[in-house]
Amino acid sequence: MDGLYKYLPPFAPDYSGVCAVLFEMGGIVVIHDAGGCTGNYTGYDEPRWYDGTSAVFSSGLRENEAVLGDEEKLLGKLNDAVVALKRKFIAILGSPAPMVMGTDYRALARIISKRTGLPTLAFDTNGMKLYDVGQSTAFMELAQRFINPFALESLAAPEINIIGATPLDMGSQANIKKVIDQIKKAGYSNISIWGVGTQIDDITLACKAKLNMIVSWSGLATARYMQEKYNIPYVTGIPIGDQASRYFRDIIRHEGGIQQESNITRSSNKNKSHINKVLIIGEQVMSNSIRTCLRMDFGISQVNVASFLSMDNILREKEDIFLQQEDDLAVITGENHYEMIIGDPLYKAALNPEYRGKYIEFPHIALSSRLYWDRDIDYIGEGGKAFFEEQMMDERSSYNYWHGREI
Amino acid sequence: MNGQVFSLPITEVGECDLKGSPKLSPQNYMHYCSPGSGGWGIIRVALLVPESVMLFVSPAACGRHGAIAGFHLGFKKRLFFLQISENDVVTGQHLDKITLATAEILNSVKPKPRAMIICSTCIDDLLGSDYDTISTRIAKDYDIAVRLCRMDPITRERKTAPEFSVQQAIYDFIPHSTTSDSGVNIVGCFAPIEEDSEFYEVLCRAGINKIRHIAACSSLEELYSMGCSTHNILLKPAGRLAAQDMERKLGLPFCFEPVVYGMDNITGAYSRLEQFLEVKLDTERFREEVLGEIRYYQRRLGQISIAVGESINASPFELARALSEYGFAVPYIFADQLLDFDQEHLRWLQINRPNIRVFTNIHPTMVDILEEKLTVDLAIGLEAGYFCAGAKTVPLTLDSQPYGYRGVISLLRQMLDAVNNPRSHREQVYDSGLVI
Repeated sequence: MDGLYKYLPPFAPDYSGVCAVLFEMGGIVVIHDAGGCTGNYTGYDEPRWYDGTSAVFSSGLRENEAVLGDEEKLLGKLNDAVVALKRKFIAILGSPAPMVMGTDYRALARIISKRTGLPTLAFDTNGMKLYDVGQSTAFMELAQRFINPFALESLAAPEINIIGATPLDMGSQANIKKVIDQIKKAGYSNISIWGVGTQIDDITLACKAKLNMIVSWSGLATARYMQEKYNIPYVTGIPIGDQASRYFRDIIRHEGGIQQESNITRSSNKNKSHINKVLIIGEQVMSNSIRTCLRMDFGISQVNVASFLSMDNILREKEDIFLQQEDDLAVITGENHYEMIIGDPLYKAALNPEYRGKYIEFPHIALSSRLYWDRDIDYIGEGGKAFFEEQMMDERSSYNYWHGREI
Repeated sequence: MNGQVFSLPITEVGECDLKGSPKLSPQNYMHYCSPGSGGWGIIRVALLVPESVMLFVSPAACGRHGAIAGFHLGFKKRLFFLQISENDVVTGQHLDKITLATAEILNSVKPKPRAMIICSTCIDDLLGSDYDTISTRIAKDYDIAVRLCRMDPITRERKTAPEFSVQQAIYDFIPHSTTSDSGVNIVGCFAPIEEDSEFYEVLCRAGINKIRHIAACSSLEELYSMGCSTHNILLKPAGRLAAQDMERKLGLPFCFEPVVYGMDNITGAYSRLEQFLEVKLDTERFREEVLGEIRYYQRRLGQISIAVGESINASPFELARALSEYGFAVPYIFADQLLDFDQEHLRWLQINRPNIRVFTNIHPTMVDILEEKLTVDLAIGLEAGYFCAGAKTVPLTLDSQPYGYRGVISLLRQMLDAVNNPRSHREQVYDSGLVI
């Protein structure tokens, strides 16, 4: 039934996506909500929250302010926070309740900026869209507001920007570091990862980069904007697997001429797997990259990607599937005779009961939150091949093992 | 460090600032949400109703933390989501889908649920959605007991704030009973009083054999039997609305006697219960026994310093007083609110322990608290454990319910266990399934 979720939890919402991008940027981030939305982000969508000290707050919205449209209270609270905490910018984000009131965040941001003297970003999030949309909006806002091609050249300009990396999609910070290692192996030294270890000032000279590397759907819009405005080419994908990572490094070495990573179908027959048909459920760029690994390292040609999240048509193969509702998962896994499925452990409960194939657990924080975010999977580079090889052989991936087990 | 972290000397707690707001209460500040904050959450409380399922009607954002906590704590199979889209907000179509969703849930859950709770959120408050008509129709069409609750924190300043109204909803399942068995209901808390508490023996000796609690009910009939009791003892302020409702509808009088940890406070509580229940409660023997045990734990624990948080199964001010009376040092309290019940204990602390500093958990400057490097040996409460990094932590959550003299021993045992076998604070936080 449309809208009914019996097995899956809701995905991380749009405001969590915005917060994930801004978490390390050094600003004051305010979710205009009554408290629950902020608690949802800090407790369940942000693995860095426990060890970090990012200034993410709830506005503490109450009924009277909502009904009467009393925004002065919010402005007063923000002003006090700015005085108490020295930060570089402010971001104001929406949640479901103020959406009903039709809160004008852009107007609020202009007033806040005027009163505090700090650049203020406005995000019209409403908790109904998903995190990927929030992340995409946040990356774009950073590009449009903070890139300055006329900034002093004394600032260090990056050679390559990585856009789209947040824990919601990439998992542990260790994997993001391994992506950097892959890029360094390709010969780059000055690498800027938007949202991870970068502050707002680091975005200023992003337009001087030779290449943008897009590691999730949420970075695509920004990459295309920067390609059009600053003529920076982009590559889409994550180096997962042995051969795929080498190919990936070749591509980024030849920066400039490549607009997007083609769907690689080179296979190595010596490693040919006995598995013929695979479904990957998850974020599109991550799933495409796993597909590349399965094709190049294991010779599996029939690999479909399915996602409840936004899918870009250019990155989509003919048989890839956009899942509109939970029931769709049961339908496609009943019809397509997959021999193996790769996805977050929580998807297992929503599969067709007739599915008897293997299931490789690949947690996605945007779905399963902290249930698995401490499960440290080494999937970047050669580690990706080793991981999938081991999982394909592991008895725990077989139907007899995973079926019917409690989450 | 960007500036001073906001805190008050305990002597100023209870005063108002120049604008007339309580100094402790940060209504006029942005709210910080520490990793140790939160509690049971509306969903988990509502699902205390046996044989029930919940349909949570909300945007994706509102249900996520409850769902993940549901997986973690084992109640997800009874929890279903009807996600509201932007179109639904404009057209109100989500209200039409509730009946269809109910049919699908009732057809798929085995054994068939006998009770259903439909939970709406802030946006339906603002839209003025009529859930009463829907629930009446569902109850009639599917022959199932249905109640409504709301997870609408924008109403937190109302008397019907969600933590109050959800308890009202779960106890509203209990029908009026024509028979009475002189039982006593324990309400407001989420777990029955611990089995080793003397409370059961004390009441049993006074002729009260049936002590009921919702979490101990395995069927709707058992829940309904709470209507046969003659008294309600309210242990938590959040159950007050429910207790008042039960008094009005079921004729069950109630008294508020929260868990306390000071020996004289416990004696006072039993004395008031004697008057309320109109029985003689013989507790002296237990008091003497426990005094002896307390000395044992005092020796084992030694002169330790303790920070007290708010998300605990206690009043932070009463607990700080009790710990001080037992000879421990309490340098810090983390609390956001001051209840009427706290006043007496606050006054005691102001006179006897004027050096205590009180931090407001949700003040925005708490984002920099770790740079203050607050040092204590032990923290009681997960947020206190986070703010005093490195302290061994006793979560003292609402998952179990100490009470009476042996409640003190339960606490001291947990303190000694934390000192001897400290756990990762991060794991303690994640294991607790805290929901804001």
